[in-house]
Amino acid sequence: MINCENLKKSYNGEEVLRKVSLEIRDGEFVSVMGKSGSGKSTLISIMGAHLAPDSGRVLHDGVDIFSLGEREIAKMRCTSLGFVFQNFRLIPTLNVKDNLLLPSVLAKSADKAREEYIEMLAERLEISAMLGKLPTELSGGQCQRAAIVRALSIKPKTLILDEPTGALDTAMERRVMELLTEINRECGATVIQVTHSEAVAAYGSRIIRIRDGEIVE
Amino acid sequence: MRLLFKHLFRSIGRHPLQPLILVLTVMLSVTFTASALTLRDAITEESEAHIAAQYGSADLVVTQGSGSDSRFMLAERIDALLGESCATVGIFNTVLSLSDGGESVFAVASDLYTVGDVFDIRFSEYLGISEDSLSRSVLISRGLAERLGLSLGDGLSVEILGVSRSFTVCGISEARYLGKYDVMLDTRAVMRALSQSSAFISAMGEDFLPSTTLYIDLSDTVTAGECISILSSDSDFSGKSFTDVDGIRNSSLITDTLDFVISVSVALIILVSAAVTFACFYILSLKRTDENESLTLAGARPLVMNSMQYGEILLYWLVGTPLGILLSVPASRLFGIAVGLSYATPTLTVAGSVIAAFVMLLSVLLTATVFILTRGRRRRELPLGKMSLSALVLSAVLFVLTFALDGKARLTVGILSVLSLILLLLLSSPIITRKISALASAALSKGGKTDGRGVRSAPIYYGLKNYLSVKVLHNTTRLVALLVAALISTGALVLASEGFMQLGEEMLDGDYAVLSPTERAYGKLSESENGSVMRVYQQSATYGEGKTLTVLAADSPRAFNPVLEIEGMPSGGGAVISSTCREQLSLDVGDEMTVMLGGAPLILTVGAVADMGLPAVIIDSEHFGIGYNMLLVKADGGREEAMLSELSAVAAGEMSAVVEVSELIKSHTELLEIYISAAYVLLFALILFATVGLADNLSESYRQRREDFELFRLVGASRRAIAGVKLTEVLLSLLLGAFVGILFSLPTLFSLNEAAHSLNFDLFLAIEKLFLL
Repeated sequence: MINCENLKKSYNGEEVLRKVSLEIRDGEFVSVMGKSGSGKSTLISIMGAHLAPDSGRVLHDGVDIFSLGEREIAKMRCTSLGFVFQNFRLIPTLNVKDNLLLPSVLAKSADKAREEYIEMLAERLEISAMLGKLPTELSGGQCQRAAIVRALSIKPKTLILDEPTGALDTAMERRVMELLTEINRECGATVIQVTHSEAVAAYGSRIIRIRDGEIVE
Repeated sequence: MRLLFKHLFRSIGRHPLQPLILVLTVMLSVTFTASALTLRDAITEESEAHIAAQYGSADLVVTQGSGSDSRFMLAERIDALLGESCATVGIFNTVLSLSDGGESVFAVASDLYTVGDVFDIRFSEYLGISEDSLSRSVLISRGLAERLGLSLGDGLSVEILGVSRSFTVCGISEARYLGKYDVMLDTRAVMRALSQSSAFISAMGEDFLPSTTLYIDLSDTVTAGECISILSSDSDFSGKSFTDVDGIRNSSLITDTLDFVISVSVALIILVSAAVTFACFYILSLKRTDENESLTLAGARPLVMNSMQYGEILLYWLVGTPLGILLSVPASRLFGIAVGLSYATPTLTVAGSVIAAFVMLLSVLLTATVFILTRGRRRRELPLGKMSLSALVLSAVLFVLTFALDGKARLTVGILSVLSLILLLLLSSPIITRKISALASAALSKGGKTDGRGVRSAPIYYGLKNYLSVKVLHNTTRLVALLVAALISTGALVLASEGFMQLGEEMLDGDYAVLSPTERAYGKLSESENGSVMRVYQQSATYGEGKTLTVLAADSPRAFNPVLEIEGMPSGGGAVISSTCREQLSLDVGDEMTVMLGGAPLILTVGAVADMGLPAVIIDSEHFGIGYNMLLVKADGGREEAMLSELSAVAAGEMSAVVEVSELIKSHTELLEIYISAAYVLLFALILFATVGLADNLSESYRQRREDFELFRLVGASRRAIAGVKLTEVLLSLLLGAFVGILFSLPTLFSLNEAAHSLNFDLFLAIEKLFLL
């Protein structure tokens, strides 16, 4: 379970999140929607421990993630929390395969089974042919798919995605969403996605709408 | 335009540490370059001042000569022969034994009334000398004053040729007298002391002022050649040795050789300074070119963007350069103090400042230019492979040529060969290191540790992967390679100089030397039970195109240090020549060689070649009618004191001086020690600057890559893991750079050695002999 309690965040004096509280149960597929600048990316960044709130708490299974030490957060990132960034954040000096394997290596779980799993995911999202290339040699859509596979590679308990299909065509978008749905259903992973698309949001079981830093729905 | 400047200043302001580091880099580079150049000029000045101190305004020097019977000369005879066309000063070498501690010092006696006619002697402290105090006055050097704790007016008790005497210190000079002597006194004082033991001296009276060397300052009305002609025809001076001082000023082997060492060391410092500056500005240029590309895509004109990039770089140069020049003033003084200069004070010149500023300007402009050209719209990659190949061909051709040429051409081509090797290093080191690390990465993958499985290999694996891709790291490797090559080259030059000097110092294998010996003295001492006594002749001569060497002769090869590998003495007209002379003149055994000794030619036949490490020839003095000018004494174990007493007693009666061989050598090597000290100071400066420059470069490159490492953190890398990756990268840069540097230092040293051969200097031989000594 993920609990957000009274989260507040400001940038340069401007309030982006105003006392946001919400609860996401294990295994839920939640879509967060809102206009540009409404605070949705800030919200999920805080939920993913990439950004600290000015006040409030985020509890993952009852543990305040901002009370954890740096090592514990690192462990969380490579074992139980997969995050897909809006701008992909692939490591430019490593090829795609190395990027996909990186969290597993850091978690000391990069065995043959894990490699095969990653290859399967890559096959599903049609980036198998790109594994030997550097991120700078990929298109935006390919980078996005690689980022998704990287996040899925650790079989996370919680998966947070920031605009996971923004760079994809309709057909690929459908494939990605089907994959996420499958992972949510069969592995019980909690999926939280930020999206502008109603079609994409519909894949989730719940939609949270955010406006001017507050949850309205 | 205003917006673009706003962007630039905001970019600078966002990371204020970067401009600071860049200004600091320029400042330090300029400081080290300007200080090295200033030291180089100061050494030249010191050398000239030294020679001036040694010879004063003399045009001609007259010494005992190889075939002369008489050991002493009179200055008044020169006056009588040449009249008003010259001023002559005679000096008498002697050795004083200090009453406390028994230390002996090399001293010079002269007519203190007239010594100023040729020599410019300056005192930092002076009491004044009257006619009454003349024979009790002594002038000492600052070095001796500090060693003995003496001040002006203090007493100094000594033994002159066995006779005890007390003197008063009436003058202290910062430099040694005539460049060599710690003590100067009036010849009358020496004669007065000797008159007590010599009836001959007593009978000659107080105006008898014998000299072992005469220094003649000729007027414009007579040339050195004419003077030699007049004197040679006089019975008092026939058989004497005449040396044209201009010849000494223009060709001094030892200082030419060490000058080469200093010049190369300074050149390497300048090169390293430029490389460090390039490496640091590389990072800035990389960032700015990327930013400018985005702005150009948004519609900014490339010309404007490029101008701004150059402008920013020039700004850092304009701020850093004056600071560097200012800092080089105290830095140069510090260098001078460390070297121990006696005459010259390192003073920053306009030329030195301009060169330092210009070199750094070229370096910073080159960085920006490389990026603008290669990362513009056409995205050209610098064709490092083709450029490396061209540099390789050029290096190979020049390298081969250095072996094929002689003389000045060899020196020039040798230096060009070194420069081409450095260029090859700079161009090819990224290629070499990428290849090695790619092989390592492949091996790591093959060895079952695929994709970094296992805790320990993960930082190594990702560090290696990063190294393959990140050009900033290749640049760091290139810098390390250059630094290592420069350090090895400079280190080798310094060691070789030490070897060269020590060979000169330890050429003769003995404990004591008797100067101005007589046959009678030799006769008395040859039967000594306290050690062995050998007759030795040692004198500088010239050969070839004004090259100087040492002519040696001795009773037995035991007179020479075993390191010189002299197995037997020559006989007849044969000579044992050094390998450097053989190479210089392409001689074989049986060939003839002409040596100019004391103005007269000596025709030798090459009988054998020895690796003496110094340019020298050993001859049969009897065959050539050359008298020995020194007795070399080796005391048997435990009988040093007894030997010394025996020597002192015999020498006193023969007006000969006894001195420890080490003291004798020391009096001749002050200038050489300055050169060696300067070489060490430059080496130390290079190490210091290399360390600072490398640390600068590494810290700047990691600051710029902070975001890259943040990406690792976002997917779960701990700080420790990231530290491991960074450490792997640093170690790879350092180790691969060191490997490439060592690889390139070998042909560089060979090229330097060939260039040095034109100056009669064999680097490898000198280093070998140093370790043997």
